[in-house]
Amino acid sequence: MNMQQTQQEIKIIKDMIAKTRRETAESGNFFVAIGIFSMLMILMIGLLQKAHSSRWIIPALLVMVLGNMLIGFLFVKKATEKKGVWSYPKKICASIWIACGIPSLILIFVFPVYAIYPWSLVVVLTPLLMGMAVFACGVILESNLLAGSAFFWWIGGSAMAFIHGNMRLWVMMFIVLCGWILPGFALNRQVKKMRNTNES
Amino acid sequence: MNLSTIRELDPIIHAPIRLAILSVLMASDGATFGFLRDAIETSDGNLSTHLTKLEVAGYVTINKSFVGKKPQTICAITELGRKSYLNYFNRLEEIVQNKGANTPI
Repeated sequence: MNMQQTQQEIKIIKDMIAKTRRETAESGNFFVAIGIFSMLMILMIGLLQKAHSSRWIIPALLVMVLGNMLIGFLFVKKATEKKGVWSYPKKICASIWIACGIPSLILIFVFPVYAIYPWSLVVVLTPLLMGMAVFACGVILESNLLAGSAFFWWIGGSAMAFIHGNMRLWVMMFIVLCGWILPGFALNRQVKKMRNTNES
Repeated sequence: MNLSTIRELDPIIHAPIRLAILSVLMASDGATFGFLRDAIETSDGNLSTHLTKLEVAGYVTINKSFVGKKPQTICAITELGRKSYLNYFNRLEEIVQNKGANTPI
């Protein structure tokens, strides 16, 4: 085996790893999708409040949580079936979302129903939990922006304890915008740049 | 390079297609036959032959399933495959370093 062959083998390794990383990189579309969907649902909740149809708020919240879970499921399905390759980081992130999604369902729909704590606490606890998921995913996906956006969830969630009324909806929308949509777009840009660099 | 260095290189991995297959599987948690074929840019038959060699050596696992009515072959690297790949990679690095020190490229 001569030097040229060795270098050729190293090139094969580099090329294959780069190709795989390019295909398995998180595009950020998931965060943009759940962010936009959540924004629309928050707007709807705001409108329901304004129309004094508060009995529809809980079903709207349920649609929001289940809708986000469905979006997550569709993204995983697309990644595994259409792309034909999946990575450890994405697998771990999917597990984190499931691990945080189930407790958030309990926090939103079980404890308040049994009057363990008031409904108003839901908007404090859920963002704190989402912050954990966003931070862990940001670290695993090596996105400082995504990891950093967890602070919007934590600070926003804590602020929710001190604000009331419609202001809460605006803060929630701000958290979703800064904690999901904007980092999602940034990840998307990052991946596009990486793909363009590798192709050229 | 002496003869012992060549002997130390794993003959199972020491083929461009098989090295490429293991590189993709090392960088992922699994890949379908179709993805491997497109990434490596080889034919179905060629890929199948090399995958079988890797499977016989215990370096990869091949699972066949159905997604709806479509058959899907999923390949993943085993623990033995991972160790052998890392050993192979370390040997390559050593070769480059030793050669680089002795002869200009």
